[in-house]
Amino acid sequence: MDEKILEVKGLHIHFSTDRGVIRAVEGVDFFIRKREVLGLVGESASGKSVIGQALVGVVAKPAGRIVSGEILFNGQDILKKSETEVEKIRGSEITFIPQDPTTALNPLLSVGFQISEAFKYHRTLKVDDMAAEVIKVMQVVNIPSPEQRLKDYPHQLSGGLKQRVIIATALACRPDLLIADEPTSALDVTIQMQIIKLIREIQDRFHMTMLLITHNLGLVAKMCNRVAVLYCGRIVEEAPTKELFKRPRHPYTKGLLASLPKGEKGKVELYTIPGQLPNPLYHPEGCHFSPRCDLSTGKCKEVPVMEQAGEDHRVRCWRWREM
Amino acid sequence: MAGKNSTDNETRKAEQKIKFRMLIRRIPKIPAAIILLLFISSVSAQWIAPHDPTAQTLLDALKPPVWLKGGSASYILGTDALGRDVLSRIIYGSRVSVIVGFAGVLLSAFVGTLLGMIAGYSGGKIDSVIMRFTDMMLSMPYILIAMAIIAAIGPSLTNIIIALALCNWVGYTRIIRFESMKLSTAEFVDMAVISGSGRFRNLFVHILPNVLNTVLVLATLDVGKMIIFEAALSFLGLGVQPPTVTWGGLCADGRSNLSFGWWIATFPGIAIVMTCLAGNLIGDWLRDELDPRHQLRT
Amino acid sequence: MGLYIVRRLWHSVIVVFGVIVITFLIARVMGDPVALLLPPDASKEQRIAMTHELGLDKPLYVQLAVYVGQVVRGDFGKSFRYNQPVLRLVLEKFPATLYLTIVATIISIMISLPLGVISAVRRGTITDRIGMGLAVLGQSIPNFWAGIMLILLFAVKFRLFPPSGYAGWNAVILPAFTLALFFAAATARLTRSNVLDELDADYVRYARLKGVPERTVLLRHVIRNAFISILNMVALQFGLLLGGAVITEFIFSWPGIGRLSIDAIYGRDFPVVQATVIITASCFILINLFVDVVYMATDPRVKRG
Repeated sequence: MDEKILEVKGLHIHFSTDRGVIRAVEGVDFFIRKREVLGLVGESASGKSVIGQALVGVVAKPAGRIVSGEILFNGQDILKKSETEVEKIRGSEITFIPQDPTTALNPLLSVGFQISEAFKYHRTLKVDDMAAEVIKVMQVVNIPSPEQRLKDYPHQLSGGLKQRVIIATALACRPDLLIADEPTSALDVTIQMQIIKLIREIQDRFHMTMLLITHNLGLVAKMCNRVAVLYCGRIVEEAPTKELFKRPRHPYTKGLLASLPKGEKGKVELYTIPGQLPNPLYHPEGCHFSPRCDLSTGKCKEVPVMEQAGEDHRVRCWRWREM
Repeated sequence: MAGKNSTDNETRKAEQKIKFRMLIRRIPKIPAAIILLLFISSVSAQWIAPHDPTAQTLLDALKPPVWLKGGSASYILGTDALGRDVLSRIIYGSRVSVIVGFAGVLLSAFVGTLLGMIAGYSGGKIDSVIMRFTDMMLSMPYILIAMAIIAAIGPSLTNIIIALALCNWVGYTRIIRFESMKLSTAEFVDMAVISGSGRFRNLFVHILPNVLNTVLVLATLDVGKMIIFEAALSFLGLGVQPPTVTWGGLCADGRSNLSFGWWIATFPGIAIVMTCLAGNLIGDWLRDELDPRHQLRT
Repeated sequence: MGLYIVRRLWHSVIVVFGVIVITFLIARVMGDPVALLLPPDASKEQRIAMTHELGLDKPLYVQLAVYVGQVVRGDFGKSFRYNQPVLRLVLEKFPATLYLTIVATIISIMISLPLGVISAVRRGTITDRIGMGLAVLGQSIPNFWAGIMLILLFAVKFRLFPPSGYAGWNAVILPAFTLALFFAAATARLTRSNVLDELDADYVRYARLKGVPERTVLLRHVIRNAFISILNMVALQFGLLLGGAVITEFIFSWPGIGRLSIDAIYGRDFPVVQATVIITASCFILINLFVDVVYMATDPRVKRG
């Protein structure tokens, strides 16, 4: 088995607001092996984006606090590192693809310059070589005529091109771990297909280790080796992709899969999970999903522990066996 | 159906009352106390002031405050060159400040908001005209204009309030115009237009309630500005005339006595600063409270 | 972009014209020049003659047109008090006000910009609270009282600076600080707010994610993007200070336009009042126009778009 590049243990992240404390992440454990693509799936307020932020050390202070836990990257706990050390890792060994390419690019600086920022601080290059490197990485993501694009400004690029620039920036230093936070949500549907295709090409070519944060199960099916499902700050199920889709063990996962639109021509059925997401300030006692769950009983007032439901398949539910 | 509507309205009104009370409870205490003090002293000046503010006792002229050598307990903050008690004069001076401050704010807010709503809601030529007009007022030095107006029509209390309002309404117009523009494209306003309500009715029924929050914040912040403005005019001799006591007039008196009566100018100024500070702090607090993004901040 | 400049220019012309009209009207309301110019015992014929000579017997709109025509040619009439062409008077006093305003602006920038930036970067900490507390205090202190207090402390008690007048290099210090006080406070708060907006921007977060060191993020992404709005503020401030120096010049007997205009109001010398208002307003409008054009020119979104 390949070694684990990333291991997250017992991560708790809280946000303090005027109205109380939001427990965004409550005891999350997972790992990613080298050359693997792990999908982190969840709805809004599931904590998936916060986890991504924590991995690169940009959880919004002072409201957000990492209360406890370890994040082991290549064996070392990055939560214990100083800001300067984290800065060195960030952008070169762990890179991040944000959700919205339009707001992620500074409108006053050229695209070429912003790509070069990615390696300016991690590699020593002469100014002339810098341009060549930028062009090289733009070619990897199939940006047409990169030499002209160097001096362009973000507003001159289409949404799809901007996202390619972002991806290029993320790949510039050949990172050990690539984190993509909803890489296609902000794009038009047609562009989404292009970007997904691009990311798959890059994955095939470079065998990158990736953490894909998304709510889009279709994307997960296409891209991920393994999936972890998040609900209200906890991982409720984790399995290899095929296994999860074929044999979901958690009621929430089942609900998610059932919500995917299906049906023959003329008769599309839409199932929705009954109930609503709880208020992030007041998570239900015990299993967070119990108020909406068909199978909930008194026992569910106790937080379920993670149990093995098969090889490489974990579930956090008291009654998974009965499904 | 009528019954259901009235209970909806009732619960909403009850909710609003509770929210309002909770809001009042959160008001910053010290600034609120200062404003309260201001009101009390202006209303009950004749009962709480230790001396008649215009009584001249030349024997007691230029007495320092009580804690310095030569001071006396009957003139806590000292006396001026004509033997008048500084503390009493400050207490009486609060009346003009309160009246001009609040009346001036009300008038400016009224004019400014009205023009702003009309500009934002109507758009087009009306908007352009109003905007050019505000540009004109903004570019002219407001002190000079106020002085000129008062020099023209005379320094009575009403005239001063009018002059101040004329110079100050611009601050509301820009912002209210912006809000009105945003609101006028909101769906519920379109719905109202479709359902046939007249344009002016629209303005007051739909736009006004939604900009009131902003107006309230601006007005609260404006009170301090108005009081300073009035004091400046009084200082320059174009405010309410003696024998009416004004804080600005007190500072002017003090100015000619800086070497031998520093307290004459200092304490009225402190009164102005404290009042204005209290107003600003409450205004800032109010702005934060009414900010719709308040829920998520630390 | 060319079209935008033309439109702005046209607006500015309208505004200046409006200012001229308004000042004309206010001055007319301020009093009867004939009564001021002639001795109180002048005969009726003399009054009629003077009225005719000053063109005051013509209908109002004719007078207005005449005045506008004169102003456009630079003729602001003659001062009633000094019997000199007003324009010359104003131009004589202008340098003193300019000097004071420049020093005040420099002082204001040196205090408010760092204060605003540091408060924003250290949002929520004690530094922030103290900084903004000082700013609110600064906005609550009346201009004239601050001047008096400064004179009291530094000229009377400690005799460090002269209490008034123009003589010597240090005469400008007290008035400049007085003038700078309020605007420094307001600018500090605005700077903080602008920088905060930038700090929250997605591209700032993204720059951090790329591994750009914090200090560079601050300089290259935050401040550069906030720079334009800050420049806007500074220019506006400069324009406002030009007109707001009235009280300060009065207190410190500073021989500038502000002092000139106050004396003119007291003395009902309205050609001078009109001229100072129009000239100050025009400077303000010009500065705003200039800033807008610079803004347009340096924003890459507009240059090519």
